[in-house]
Amino acid sequence: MAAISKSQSRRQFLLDMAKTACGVGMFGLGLGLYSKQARALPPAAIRPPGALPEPDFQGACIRCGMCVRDCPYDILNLAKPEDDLATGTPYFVARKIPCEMCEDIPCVKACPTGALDHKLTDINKAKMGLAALVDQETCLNFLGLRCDVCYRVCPVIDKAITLERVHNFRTDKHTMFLPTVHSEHCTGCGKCEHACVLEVAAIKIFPVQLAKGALGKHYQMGWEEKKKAGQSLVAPEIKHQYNLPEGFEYEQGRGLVPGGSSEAAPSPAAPGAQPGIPQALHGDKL
Amino acid sequence: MELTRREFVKLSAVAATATAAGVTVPGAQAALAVAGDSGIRWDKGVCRFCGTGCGVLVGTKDGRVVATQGDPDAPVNKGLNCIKGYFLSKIMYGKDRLTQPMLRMKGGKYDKNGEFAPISWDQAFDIMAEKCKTTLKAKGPKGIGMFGSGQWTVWEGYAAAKLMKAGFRSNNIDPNARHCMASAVAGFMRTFGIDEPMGCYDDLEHADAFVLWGANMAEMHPILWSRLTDRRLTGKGVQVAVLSTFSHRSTELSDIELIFKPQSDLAILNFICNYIIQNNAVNEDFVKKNVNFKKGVTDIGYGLRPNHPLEQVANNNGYPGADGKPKGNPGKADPMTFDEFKAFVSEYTVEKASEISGVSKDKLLELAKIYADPKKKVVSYWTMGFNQHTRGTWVNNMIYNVHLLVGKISEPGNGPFSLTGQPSACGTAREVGTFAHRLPADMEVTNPKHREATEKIWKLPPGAIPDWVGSHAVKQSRDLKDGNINFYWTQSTNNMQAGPNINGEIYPGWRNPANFVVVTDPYPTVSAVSADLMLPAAMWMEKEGAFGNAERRTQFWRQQVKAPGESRSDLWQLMEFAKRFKMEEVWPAELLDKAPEYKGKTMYDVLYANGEVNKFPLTELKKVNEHGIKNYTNDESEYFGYYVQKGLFEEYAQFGRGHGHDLADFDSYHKSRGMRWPVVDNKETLWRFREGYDSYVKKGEGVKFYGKPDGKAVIFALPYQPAAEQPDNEYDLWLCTGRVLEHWHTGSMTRRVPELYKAVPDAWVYMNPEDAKKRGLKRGDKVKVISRRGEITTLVETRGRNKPPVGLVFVPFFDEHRLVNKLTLDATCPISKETDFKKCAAKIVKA
Amino acid sequence: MVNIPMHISGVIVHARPERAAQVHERLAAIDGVEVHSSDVEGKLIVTLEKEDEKTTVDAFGLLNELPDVLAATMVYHHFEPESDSI
Repeated sequence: MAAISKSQSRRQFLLDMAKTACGVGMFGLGLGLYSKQARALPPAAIRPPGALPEPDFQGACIRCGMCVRDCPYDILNLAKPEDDLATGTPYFVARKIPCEMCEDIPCVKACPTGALDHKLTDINKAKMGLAALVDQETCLNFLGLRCDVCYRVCPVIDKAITLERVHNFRTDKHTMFLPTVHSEHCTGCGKCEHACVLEVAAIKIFPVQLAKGALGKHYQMGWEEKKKAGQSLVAPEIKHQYNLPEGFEYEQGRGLVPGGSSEAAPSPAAPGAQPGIPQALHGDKL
Repeated sequence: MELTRREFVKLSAVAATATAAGVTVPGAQAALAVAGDSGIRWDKGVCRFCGTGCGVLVGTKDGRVVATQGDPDAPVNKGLNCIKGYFLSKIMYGKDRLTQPMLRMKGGKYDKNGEFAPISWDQAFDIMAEKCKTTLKAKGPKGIGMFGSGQWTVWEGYAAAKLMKAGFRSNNIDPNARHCMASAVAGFMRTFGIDEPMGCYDDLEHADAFVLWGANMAEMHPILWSRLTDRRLTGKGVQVAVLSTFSHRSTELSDIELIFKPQSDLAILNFICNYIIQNNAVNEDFVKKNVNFKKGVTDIGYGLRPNHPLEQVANNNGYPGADGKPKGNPGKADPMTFDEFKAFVSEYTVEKASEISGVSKDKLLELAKIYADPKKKVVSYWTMGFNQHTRGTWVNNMIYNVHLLVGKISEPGNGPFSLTGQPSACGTAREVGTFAHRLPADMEVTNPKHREATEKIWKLPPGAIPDWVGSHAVKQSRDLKDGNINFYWTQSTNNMQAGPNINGEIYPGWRNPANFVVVTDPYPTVSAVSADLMLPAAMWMEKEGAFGNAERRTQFWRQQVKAPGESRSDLWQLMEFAKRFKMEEVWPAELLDKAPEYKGKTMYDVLYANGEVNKFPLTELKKVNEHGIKNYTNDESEYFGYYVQKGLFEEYAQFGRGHGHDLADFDSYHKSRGMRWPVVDNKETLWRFREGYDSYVKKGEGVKFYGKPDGKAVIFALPYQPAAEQPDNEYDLWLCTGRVLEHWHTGSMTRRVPELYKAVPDAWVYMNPEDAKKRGLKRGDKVKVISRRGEITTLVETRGRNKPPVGLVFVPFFDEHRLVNKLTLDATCPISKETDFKKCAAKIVKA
Repeated sequence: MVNIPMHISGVIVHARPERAAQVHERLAAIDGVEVHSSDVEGKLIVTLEKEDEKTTVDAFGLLNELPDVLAATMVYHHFEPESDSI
């Protein structure tokens, strides 16, 4: 409550100031506000697709409003003096209205200076920000519920946001579907934050540098490196043999296999070797 | 425990301070916990949406439902909910709740073309009774109709069926479950002679493989899907196969994704049977002992109007032919042998199935092996993909063919399971028998013995219940348009948005000047505003209720809060309306002569104050419910002067007890998180038809499909046949309709929850990016989706949750601003009469 | 009805353990103070109910100055206009 009334009164104060300033001589105060705001982009404000890094963007943007005019969904705003960012520059607030990710990116085309980078022609490559599921305590899916609204509204569904399946140990019968953001594909459009059904969104868009962690260079993900290389980085490995009771097999990495090959995946190429399937089914007759 | 705000804050201060000091203050935390943050009263309830039947705890304070929680003790969901369930506490509080009856009027009088104006309940029943009586005089019982719901509570459906079938002597009553479950019902009845699944949700923890046939469980049954996924995740080698006409959230998580051409599921099912037979995987003992074979008639038409070219050439559609006699019977089938069946399916080779369906041979074989492998326990799930199908009954029969051939049925982890879309499609529409051809407990109006049994329980003279099959949902729309039904009352459903071919059939019927249409609903839905009279309904926790979910679980709840304004439950409306008719006005003299004691009485007296329904005094309310709510009472009982719900339920339960549909006594349900029928000697039944699990199967019988006189289920030989309407050069796309997770059906509740509205505000058309490109379209473009019956304007979606193949588009039907059912074709399965909402031809142009 | 604003504070009063009973009595005598528990270590859980910030601060100062009180620590403060509904 207090926070809202505070911001309202602050807003009113600034508006009143602005009004007075108009009468008395706007210049000095306007500049004062400007210089105060220009330092950084507040986290809730997201720049249009293709925006240059913030200091460059502020340098290049001539506050012409062309991008705002050409946004077909009326998503973009120009910052007003009372807003906490450089007056006249374009932004949107995802929780209010997110970017629709137009295939032809009209805002970028409209930009006369390149503050919005014209090299961005595939909207899926935009990096307006990065979604982060910041509150696992209130995210309904982390509680085991089936919300996953953020996942389904994601325009890059199954790439930018996936649902990672984890056993629900409390009910012991259900799966938890944990929304997981993948920075490689997230454009920062804000659909997830906008659609989050909580009173305060548990998933939010942040500037990439705020949201993204970084691994130390001294450590690499072995499984990823192996995948990249297409094989083990250290090879060859000898063929292991083990002392085992009859009927058992031991597979490197998989462990003890009771009943031997019976648990192996059926392979159509090996008729007769699939005890899981009746004799009659070895080799398909159809 | 009641706390004032001041006491509450003080208690919080103590608790917080004590925590900081590391001191325990006896009672402070506990008092806070009991009070919740607030003195909320908690009681058990059931979710209002799909057929899963998740248990919820409902929190009430100051006469308002202020919170809900998933019920951790409910076995179905163990405290979980989907996002619709999460917002249950908000569905009753949309700003535009109807709170008084509204009639179209001009100059203070009813006028079909007037504006809606508020009237009293007395005035509302006056005009209704007048219109109903005029119609009865002019056309008899066939001139009136009622369209009900799988969202009716059990007693509401029961009271409605009684009002129509016994009171008005009209079988023109049908539930909206006709649109969603009728094919499953017809399939069960034809194959097993008894309705509803043999298994239960516990199959989810026992199966080795799950096959989804036209069911997007990930979105439509989210909690069951999380159970299925858990089995997939934790069970070794568990497989999930999903068959669909487009990729969606369930196919995304599947091991085998089979995207088939619409209607070709028929060919795939026959191929699986052929594969099983050819590879000697038939469970011969089981088949010999438990199965008969029959060949169904074909050439059954498509449930279109009789003058449609497709119906004129069909010889087994049951419509009147040139000589006035019915042309055959679409449900007819003749006995055949196993060898004949084997020969019948032998043409469905993997090559042929692959060619018809467009699914690769490898995937088809992989699927067939799941069923054929005797070591693999399989559950098949289906919903609207099977049921909303012009061969819906067939395709239900054909999945049973597969399970019966291999004997994978009626045991933990093995079985076919039809999921339901409404909270009480099973409990009310099916078990109570609110269909145009049904009576309670699977009985039918055309069977003289069934009518007799019903008349006995209902204390009616012989011949009171009409022997003719009434008009089903789609036929009702046609009857209204043709002026054959002139008085029509719908409750708890929204057919002007959910029914097929709105422009062509439904709207002209409702606005036909000869007709008077009444809609009972909590909200001004598309249907309500298209009617002549809107009656405000009490909903969900504003009345005492019972639902029956998809696994035969009957669940009760108590009335928690009062309905706003003049809103009344459907039950009150039905019973109070019955008071407006003297028996002389609804029964012919010769029938009344057989029951002279009913002369001069009202329908209310005969149907409800009949010594059965009114036999439990008001003191019972307190006695039955004292453990839940102190000094409990409910509005209907207070008004009518007896425990209405208990009386209706106990009379209704007489139908099923001893006949395989045994329900427990009323009081037990108020003390339990539901029970799965048949409940015999207080024991629930988990798996039906199998010795040990089902008390109706005697020792030594093993498996017995006791719905059939000889205890044997039927395998049907049925062919692949094309859809009623297919894409052509002009209308070049398949149009499929359906739901999304966030909204339920027509969105009349979920669209009034701001958070859900914001999550998915509009129904866009999902299409393949290539299809869009071909038409010069890109995502977000405004387009017209056009069929032969109408057009809607919407936006193109090429990304997101649904990924249709080239040639198919999908539009959800929740959006009242884009009525996709203006486009759909009112073709039905000729046996089940259920509409095919999944297949018609459409085109898309830039708007 | 006139809304009387409420300021409710939770305070830990740490008294000399052997004098805790006397402190308890003295505290209870102060207007708007309620003692909810005391333990063997001399910690008392106290609430302070006042109508505005100034009287709250004054009362809090008073708690600190009571004989045998080692420390009084404000842990929780809640302010809102009074109303009966939660």
